[in-house]
Amino acid sequence: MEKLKKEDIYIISQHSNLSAKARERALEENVYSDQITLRKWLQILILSLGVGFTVSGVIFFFAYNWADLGKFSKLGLLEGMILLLTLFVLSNKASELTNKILLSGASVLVGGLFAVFGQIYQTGADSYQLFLIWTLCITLWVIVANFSPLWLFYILLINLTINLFFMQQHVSLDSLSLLISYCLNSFIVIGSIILSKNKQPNWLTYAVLLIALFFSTQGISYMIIDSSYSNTLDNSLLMALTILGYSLGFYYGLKSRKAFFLLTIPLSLIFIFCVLLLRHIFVSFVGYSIVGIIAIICITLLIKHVLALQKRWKMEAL
Amino acid sequence: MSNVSINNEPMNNEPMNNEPMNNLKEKLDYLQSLNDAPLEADENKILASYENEGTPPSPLIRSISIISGIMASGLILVSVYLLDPDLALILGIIAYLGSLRLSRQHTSMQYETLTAMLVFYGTVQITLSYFISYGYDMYIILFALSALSLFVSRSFNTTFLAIIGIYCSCVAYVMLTAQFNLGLLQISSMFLGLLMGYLILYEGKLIALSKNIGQRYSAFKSGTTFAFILSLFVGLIVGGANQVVSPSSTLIIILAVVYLVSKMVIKLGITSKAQRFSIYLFCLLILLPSIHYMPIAGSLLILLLGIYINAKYLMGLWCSLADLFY
Repeated sequence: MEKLKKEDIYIISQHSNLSAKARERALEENVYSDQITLRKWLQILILSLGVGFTVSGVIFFFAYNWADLGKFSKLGLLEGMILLLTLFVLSNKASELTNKILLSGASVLVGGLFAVFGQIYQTGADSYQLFLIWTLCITLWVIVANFSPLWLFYILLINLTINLFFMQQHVSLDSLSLLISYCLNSFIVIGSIILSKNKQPNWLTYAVLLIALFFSTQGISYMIIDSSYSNTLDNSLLMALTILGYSLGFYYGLKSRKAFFLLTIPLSLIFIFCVLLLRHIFVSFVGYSIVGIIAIICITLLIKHVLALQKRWKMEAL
Repeated sequence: MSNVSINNEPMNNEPMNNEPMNNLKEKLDYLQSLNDAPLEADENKILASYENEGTPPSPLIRSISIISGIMASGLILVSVYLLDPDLALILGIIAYLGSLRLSRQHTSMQYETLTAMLVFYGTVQITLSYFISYGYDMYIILFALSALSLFVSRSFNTTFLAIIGIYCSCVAYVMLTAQFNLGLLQISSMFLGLLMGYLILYEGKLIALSKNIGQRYSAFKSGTTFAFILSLFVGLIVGGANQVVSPSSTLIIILAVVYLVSKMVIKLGITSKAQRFSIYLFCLLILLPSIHYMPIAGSLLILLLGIYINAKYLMGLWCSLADLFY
């Protein structure tokens, strides 16, 4: 017999005389972490906390002792730590997971090193060049480690670099930056689906999908709010690529039975639809209420359909 | 097992699908092996529950439902109040009462977004109207409305929002009346942390305590966890880095962490007393320096609870919120 799920224990408890002790044992044996899972998760937690606190400690150390440290000690300490971490990883003495977490810590410290460099030589600690160099410098480590949290961190760095570049070079976020960000993240989602064949955990794909949806929703909403945007080539491209990306995502969600795609893509569409209504149709105070009600109806219908789909998939799987 | 007593007369003379029935028999046999007394189960009701309730909605669907409900009600709230404050109060009362009725009649996920919108809109509208127009104490009204919906409602979203509402009324009290007394905020955080730990660790006892509590157990657990996370951030925002007001509250959370570690130690099969003692001492030594700063011990408590009960969503929720707020 396969393991009981939590809802099995809930439902049976409500319609039987199952004792509290038996319920607790059933939960312990079927739902809660067993010894192996517990050990695995504790190992990850303790390692991550250790690396996280050490990296934070280094950053705070510099913040509190900035005035008392010389240039050499500031840069030397950080470089020394990065060197130590990478040499330890290269020695291959620890487990694979430990090496990956340590490499992630070293990747964060590289950013710290460039920030300290930027502060010492007044090149700025928030310039896009800093994030660009940071991204380039850790690229090899990210590929070698192939560690999902590090991949996510790397993708966030790329997005930050692009957006900072446009903000610092073009004064504000413009449609081209949104188009590039959307295309990049969509490409990563499509690439991870095609190449990894479910090797990477789903959460990474989902997280990048959310980033892509954020940029497309923001871009199209800008287009609706500011009519001067809507005629540019970038926006027409963004619109066309959004339609293409959403259609592909929806098709993939239906085909591979991933409810996440079927929920988030329509949710973005509902948001865009509400912006459209607020901008062009319901522009009064009463209009806000009407749009609120329309949003609720749309989301209720969306949830109803996704739940019905999930139920159908479950029945078909039986 | 032969001693499983089952009431399995077909309902409405409908033929039953054999597969779910066989699966259920297997499950009941297994549960009988854990139960001391002979297991008596109403199989028809169990199958009907499976048919009606099915798989519980994912945390994503629940989050979307609550967030969109709150956002939509925010739109309505602003526009109606600016239009006519008296009409807004009447609409708020209608929405609040409507949410209570709806949450008692329909507990399925399909109605949850609407219920969330109505209860949020009603509670906030009534509280603000009485506070702005009539000068009543905001925290008393918010507490009363939230407590009422906690007792009366039956759905996930209303219970979840009622727990958050009760916590927010405590924050409102501290900010409006108690002159930003950080100690009170920390004590409320501590209570929430302990309540969350109790709800999660004693799940087996609580789910069958009464039908009402059993059905809403997930909502109580999620609401308390979210309120605890919120309380840690509120403490951070109000108190900043120098949270030296009530170290005893943090100490209790640290002791709760050690208690949880003791449960994990048993599960990991560590039998040596010296090893156990070293682990507890190590935990205390590591955490005691953070006695003036509850978020560290609080975060650790949530993460360890998530690991203990194998709730990846709890860990995911905590990590994403920590990323967002810290």
